Amino acid sequence: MSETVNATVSTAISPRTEPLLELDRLSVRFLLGRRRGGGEVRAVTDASLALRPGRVLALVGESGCGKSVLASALLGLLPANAQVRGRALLHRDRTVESGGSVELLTAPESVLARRVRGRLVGLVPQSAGTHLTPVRTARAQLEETIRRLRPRADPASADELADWAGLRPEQLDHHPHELSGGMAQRVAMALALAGDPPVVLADEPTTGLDRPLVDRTVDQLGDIAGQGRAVLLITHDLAAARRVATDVAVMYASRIVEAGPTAEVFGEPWHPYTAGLLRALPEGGFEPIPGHPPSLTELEGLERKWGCVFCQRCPEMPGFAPCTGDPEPIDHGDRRVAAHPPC
Amino acid sequence: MNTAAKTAAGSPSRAAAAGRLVLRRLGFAVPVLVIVAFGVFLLAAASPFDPIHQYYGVQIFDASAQDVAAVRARLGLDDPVLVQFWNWFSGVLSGDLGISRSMRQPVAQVVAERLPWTILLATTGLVVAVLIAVVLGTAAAWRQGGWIDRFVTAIGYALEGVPPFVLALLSIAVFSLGLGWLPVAGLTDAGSAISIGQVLEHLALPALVLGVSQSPWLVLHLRQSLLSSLSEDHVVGARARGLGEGIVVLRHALPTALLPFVNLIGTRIPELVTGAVLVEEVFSWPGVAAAVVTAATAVDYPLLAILALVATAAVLLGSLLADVAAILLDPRVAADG
Repeated sequence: MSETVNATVSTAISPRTEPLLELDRLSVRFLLGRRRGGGEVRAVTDASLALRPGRVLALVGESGCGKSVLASALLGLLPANAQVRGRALLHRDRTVESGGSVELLTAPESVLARRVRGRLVGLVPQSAGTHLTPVRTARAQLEETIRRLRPRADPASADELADWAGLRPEQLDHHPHELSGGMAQRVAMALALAGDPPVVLADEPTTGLDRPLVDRTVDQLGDIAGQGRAVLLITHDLAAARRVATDVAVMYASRIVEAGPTAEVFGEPWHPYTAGLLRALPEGGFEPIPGHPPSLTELEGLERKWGCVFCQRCPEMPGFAPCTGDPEPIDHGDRRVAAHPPC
Repeated sequence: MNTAAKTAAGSPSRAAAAGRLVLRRLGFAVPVLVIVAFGVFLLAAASPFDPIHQYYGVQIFDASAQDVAAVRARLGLDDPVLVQFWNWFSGVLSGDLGISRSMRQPVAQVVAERLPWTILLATTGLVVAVLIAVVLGTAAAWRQGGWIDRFVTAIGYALEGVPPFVLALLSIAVFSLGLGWLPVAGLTDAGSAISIGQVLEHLALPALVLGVSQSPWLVLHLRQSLLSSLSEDHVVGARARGLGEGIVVLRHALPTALLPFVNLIGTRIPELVTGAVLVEEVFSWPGVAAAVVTAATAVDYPLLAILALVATAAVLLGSLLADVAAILLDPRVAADG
């Protein structure tokens, strides 16, 4: 069913629709230690993305590449030692207050709390169970969220929302510790949509679920996009991304190394990291990329030494060095790839 | 509580579980109380004071040796400790708490006259302490590093080092002698009959002093507990859903922060009892404190044993109430086992 939804979506809405959320060279650093000498973690570097209505953008990459930090940055939920640069423009096309757009990175906390979170940007969090308050039932929290975000909503809409998410009404009366992983995930999905946001960020929503539940969850995200929302699916599960995403962005060591329509990127990857990820899938040969992603504290030194931080693990360039400087983003139609001149 | 269906049934089964816990604890309390009472008798027997001296006071110098020996025999002071304990214990079981030698009154009467005033003072003090803790602890954690936080934390640490009687004397100096707002001591003004207004006026200062002296541990603990709760996933989740700051703190962070706090209140009950004794002494409050001091110096076994039992029962009851509250507040706590 979701395949048909996706099919209609991708034909009905062209990739060039006006984006709802535009990221322009978004960078996040975490300062360690009290003074500047304490080092820093480069979590996100120069990320540029566009989320468009009706489309699911999958942000993929191995764990520890900075994907989740990006979602937290957009909601202003980063810890105090984070430094954010760049721009993230949210175009509000459906809100009561007329027009304009919000710059998420510089918006004050009061704007984020009262107008953005839940209302314009919904979050489906990683590990849904722990994101619920343990001493209150799922119903109490869902009804509270609906009441706060949509004061005029019908009190019965909690049951409707839960039903849409795949929960029976009595399952809402459980406390979070009594919910299975799949049930908690559905509650999280219902909560993310309680304020009817046009943009939905799903941060590793499928962690810890088995394959049928993963499929179910990502299909739901496809449905959400089908309703005209823009969805960002952050995941390290390439199969899940391929199932539902219309567009894909590949992140490695804090940078987006390749982006474009899913079919094209996965069909003919341009960046060696994307190719490596695909080869690591069972159907791609089950051949994992050797080594691990670099620690995000070492990127500065690695880039100075090697130029591109992937060279160390790049199967096509064994021991190749050094390619220099910042990668050069090459745009080609809908696709972008980060290229280092010699690579 | 082992199946989801059973817990899902909700509060009735949890209330039943809490009831079973209460019964089991009451069962445990009986041997504890017997051991405590016996321990009091052993300690009193080992005490260097001779009860007969306290019984006679200065009149012992005029009494003949025969009279003293006769009184000793009548009071049973020459019996071995075990016999004394058994006589007292069998009396207690038949409802006779014995006669207080130091107060020259039946023990039951001493307790009945004084215990209600102590309970009134201790309960009011505890309520004051908990209110202070919830309000100031929440305010401090909410704006961590702000001026309220710095002020509350500094005062909290300072107060932890101030004994209750110092606080009591200071407050008398300021509010009674200096400002003249509240009476210095006693239950009523001299010569007045006991009335609600009189008692409230005289209760205010001692209860406030007791509450304030017990509050720093509670305030600092709640602040810390709320701070860690504020950075937990479920609070971040509530914030990400677009809930307002007030709801996030009061309905998501505070409920989980209160769980360890309730347990802490239970463990602070012994301190409360000790604090109440000191405060009662300073304010001449007619509670059990004066009786404890008199009974201890007079080696008055019957009264001392009962008062020790009352204190023990208060501590057991405090920890029981804390555990029951934890069951009722936290659906994850298993009541069995």
